[in-house]
Amino acid sequence: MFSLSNTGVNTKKAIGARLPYLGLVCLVIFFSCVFFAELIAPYDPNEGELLNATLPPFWQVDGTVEHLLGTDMLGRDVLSRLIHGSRISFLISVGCISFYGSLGILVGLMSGFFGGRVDMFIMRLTDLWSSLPGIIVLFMLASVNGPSATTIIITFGIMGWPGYARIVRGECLSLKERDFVRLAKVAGCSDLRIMFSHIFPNLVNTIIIMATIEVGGIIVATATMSFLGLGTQPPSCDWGLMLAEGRQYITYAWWLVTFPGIAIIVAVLGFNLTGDWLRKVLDPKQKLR
Amino acid sequence: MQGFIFKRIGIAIMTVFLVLTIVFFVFRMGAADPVSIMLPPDASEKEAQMLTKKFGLDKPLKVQYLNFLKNAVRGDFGESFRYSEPAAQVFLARLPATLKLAALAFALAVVVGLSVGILSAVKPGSLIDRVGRLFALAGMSLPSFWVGIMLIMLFGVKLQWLPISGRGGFLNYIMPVICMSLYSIALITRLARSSMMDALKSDYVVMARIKGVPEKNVILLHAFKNASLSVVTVIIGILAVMITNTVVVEMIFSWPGIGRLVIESFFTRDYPVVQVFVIFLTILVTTLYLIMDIIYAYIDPRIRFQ
Amino acid sequence: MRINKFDWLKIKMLLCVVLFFIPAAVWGGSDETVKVGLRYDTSTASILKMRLGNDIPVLLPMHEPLVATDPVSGERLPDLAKSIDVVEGGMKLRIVLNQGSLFHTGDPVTAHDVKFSYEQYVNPKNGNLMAGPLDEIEEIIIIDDYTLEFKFWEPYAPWKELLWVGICSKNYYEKVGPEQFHKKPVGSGPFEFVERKIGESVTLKAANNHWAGKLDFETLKFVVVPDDMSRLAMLETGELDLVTEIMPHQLRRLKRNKKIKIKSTSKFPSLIGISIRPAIEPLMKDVNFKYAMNHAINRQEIVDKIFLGKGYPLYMYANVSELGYDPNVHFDFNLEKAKAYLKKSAYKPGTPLTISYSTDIPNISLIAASIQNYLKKVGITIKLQKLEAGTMATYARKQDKRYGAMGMYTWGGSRDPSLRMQLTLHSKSMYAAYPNRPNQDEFDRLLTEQGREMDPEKRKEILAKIHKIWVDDPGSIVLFGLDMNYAMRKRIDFNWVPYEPYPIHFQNIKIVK
Repeated sequence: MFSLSNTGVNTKKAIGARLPYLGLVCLVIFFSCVFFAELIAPYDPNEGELLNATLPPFWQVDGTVEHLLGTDMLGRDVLSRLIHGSRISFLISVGCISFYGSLGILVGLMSGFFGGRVDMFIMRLTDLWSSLPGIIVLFMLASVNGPSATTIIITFGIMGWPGYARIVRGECLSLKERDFVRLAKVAGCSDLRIMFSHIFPNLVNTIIIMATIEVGGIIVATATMSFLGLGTQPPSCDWGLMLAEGRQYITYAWWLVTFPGIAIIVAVLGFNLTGDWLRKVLDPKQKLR
Repeated sequence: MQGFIFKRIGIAIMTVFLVLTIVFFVFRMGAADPVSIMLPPDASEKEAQMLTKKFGLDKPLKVQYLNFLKNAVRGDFGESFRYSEPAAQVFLARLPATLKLAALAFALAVVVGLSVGILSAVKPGSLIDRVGRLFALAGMSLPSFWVGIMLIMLFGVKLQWLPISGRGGFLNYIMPVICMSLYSIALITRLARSSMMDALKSDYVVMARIKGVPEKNVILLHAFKNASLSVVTVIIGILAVMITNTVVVEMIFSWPGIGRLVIESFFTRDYPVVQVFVIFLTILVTTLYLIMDIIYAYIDPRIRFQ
Repeated sequence: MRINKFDWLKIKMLLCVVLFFIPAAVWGGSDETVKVGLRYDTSTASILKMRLGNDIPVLLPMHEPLVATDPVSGERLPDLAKSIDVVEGGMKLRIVLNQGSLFHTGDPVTAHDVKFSYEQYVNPKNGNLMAGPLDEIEEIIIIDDYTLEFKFWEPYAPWKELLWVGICSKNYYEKVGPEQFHKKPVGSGPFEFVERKIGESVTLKAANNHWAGKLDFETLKFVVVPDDMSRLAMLETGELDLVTEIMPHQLRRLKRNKKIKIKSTSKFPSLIGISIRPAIEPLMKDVNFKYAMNHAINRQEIVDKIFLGKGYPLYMYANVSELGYDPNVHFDFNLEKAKAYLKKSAYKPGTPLTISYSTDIPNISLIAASIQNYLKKVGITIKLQKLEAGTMATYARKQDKRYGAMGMYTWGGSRDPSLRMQLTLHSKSMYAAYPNRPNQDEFDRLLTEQGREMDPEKRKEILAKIHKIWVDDPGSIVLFGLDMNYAMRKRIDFNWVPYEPYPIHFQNIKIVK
């Protein structure tokens, strides 16, 4: 069989082929921090002795092995804070995704399944919603509720659902025409039942892929908001907040900014790479992009 | 077609009005009030009342809202609480700085993103593809504020090659533009690459090749033209993302644009300025979507008759 | 050799890179301009509409006050005014102006300009931050072109606090109208207004007709750089010449730079403490509890560790720059004493008490967290609550319950404590945190009395009495005062005017040859 396109190059040697392993390694690190933070972290993330303030990492002159990655201005162990910080990133991501994921799936299912006027109304609403500037929503919620992790979850939840809704709707439209759905209809199943026990299971792959890919984005966005002072508040050990706090001391304690940054990169890389890989495996037709 | 456009414009205007109304009321529900923020710590109750009256916050909310609408139609958005000047004026004075930055970052993102994306789709596995994909991955994973800090530390403080902040000459643009376009470059590269790859695999490209169309024309005329629809969608989306991005970049590089203005105005609860920002942003975004819809309708006649 | 297309591209790219850096090589400020870094943008160009304290250093150089402060001794010296006399037992202030002071337009400064300016300051339309304090003046009477009288509602001891505001040209204002004036103000100060770019910079130039003569430099430019780190980095690269309000931990790096000179002064109004809210948490009325807190906090350690020694512990409601400061008031750091007091108090161990704080105080989250640790050691449980600055200000003003039992506060202040005392201690004031202390009537009487006592010695005695009552039943837990650290490029020399909360007197900057 001949190929006229140039895509026949052996891509196995490309970086892409090895990247999923890197992604998985990152994820393993991330999740072991999330689930076993108490066991791994050498110290309480919020306790510190002022006497031990701003110790550098162990390989530097004043550093000690007791604080591998050094301490912050209050003498709190940076490593322990990073480890516990993973939990906050994870919880916020899970919160956001389950919030807007369920909303988006519900709306998308309804829109795709019922079609007609419902579909048109929902799609217009989705368009209108997408044109709302996210940062304004965050401002509004932060002014009412005060900047906090909950505010972030609600904001991202409110802002994120149209993306899910569109994709679920698209999938649903094609599934609706499949025989098993038609048969179910003939068999007299209720709409709700068809939606949730016939169509929904076929969407699981799509949803998992989307969720994995989005976690990375949410971690970066959360960090950014905390950095601007609109996100989590001290003494939380959120990575973005650690960065924002450490930034004042950057010329004097570089480790306070560098390590949280690396932590964010590791986590985000993990989710992005795994997401790409999952998409390749579970969605070979590349419907999702 | 005309009817379609009018309908979409109608929806756009409604969106602006709706967003504005929500913003107006929700902001005023917040715990903090601008008078308490603007009052010097040694102020008396009498001054507080004076300021409340000056800001027009002594009237009931309904009256404030009606007044605001009445004035907004005439293009008067009230006087800024923080700056003793009309809010629109304050906003417009700082808009050019942001527009210049965003335009440069956008141009950079589109040029670099498209060319790298197309080149790597044409030759997958080549050096440019590998570097491009690595870069795209980095661009998606690195928080832009962190990159900004690191750039300042390296080129501003350590090497002293580039000015750290402010808006002097051309050099001042380099770091903020890079910082701002990083994510967009990554996004465009990824998308251009995958949609080009799809297009290159399609029947009409195979057909064109069989017909003996020169390779350059195959790529640009046949493949890219068909890949461009999804690329346009992302590019327009990126314009909206850039506004959010300006806030971060302008904070880090002390850029005197609207991004920094709006976050400062938020923290001082300078309602008039924030409202002007919201109006501007909503109009911008709805216009972008409108343009996108019209382009779609133009390209794909089915949409028009929906 | 044939150059192919790709090589051309490479050459072009190289050229671009080279072109990028040529301007960088010639980068560098001219000696005639002194650039000062600002954290906050000014709210206006016009001193008459001045809304924030941070506007003062930018706007005051364009104008002259009736009385200015000597930069070396810190004493206040006549400036526009030749003499100022308190007459009629403190009811009136007679001011005689120097003849020969000129506005930048060439007009002489007369009593009419002074009256006009003071009236504009209190005009509600302008929303000026001095409108409140200047309300103490009932009437301004012009006697002749160079003599005028301020008539007070009642004798006013801190009258010096009313004389620093800048005088504007009445003629010019009336000629160009308010709108134009607020855009391009005219005063009689050592600098003239040139240009203001909102959010970016304010440029002033040396006035050519100022009585003090020629300055060492031509242009004074204020550059707005909200970010602390960037501001200091710009000082290091020479993009700025003077940066103030530097946190001690940042000094360490600056010290290594041979082109930078660092100065510090403790003659600077600064006071950081924990305010108490007995109305929200009755425990805060308990003297024993407050004493326990006072003895439990190691102020010196916080100053040494967080502020690297650039500050001093404070125990009373006045800092070193204020009238009435007494270095003998002291609570020693003693855990045993603290525990003993705590045992006597009504505090039930384990009850969490909230301390609110907001980011407008430098390093505040560190201070708050270390206080939480100290109090934990004696058995007091503290819950920290970080509020956004605006929310905290609103809660404080409206006495909102969500503020919690305590809150961190800071006070820049001035030399005369009267205004602050009236506002925060007097039972009638909305800001009073502890308005019904056991001996409040006596307290109120003393507060009013010190504001009317024109004899400085007698006034000091009254202030001492007030502070004694305040310390015996602490009105708040005062922690420490901080030094003002500022740094400049070695090519200039600037000195902080002692006891001033803001950098002023930029005309005294010398260019070092």
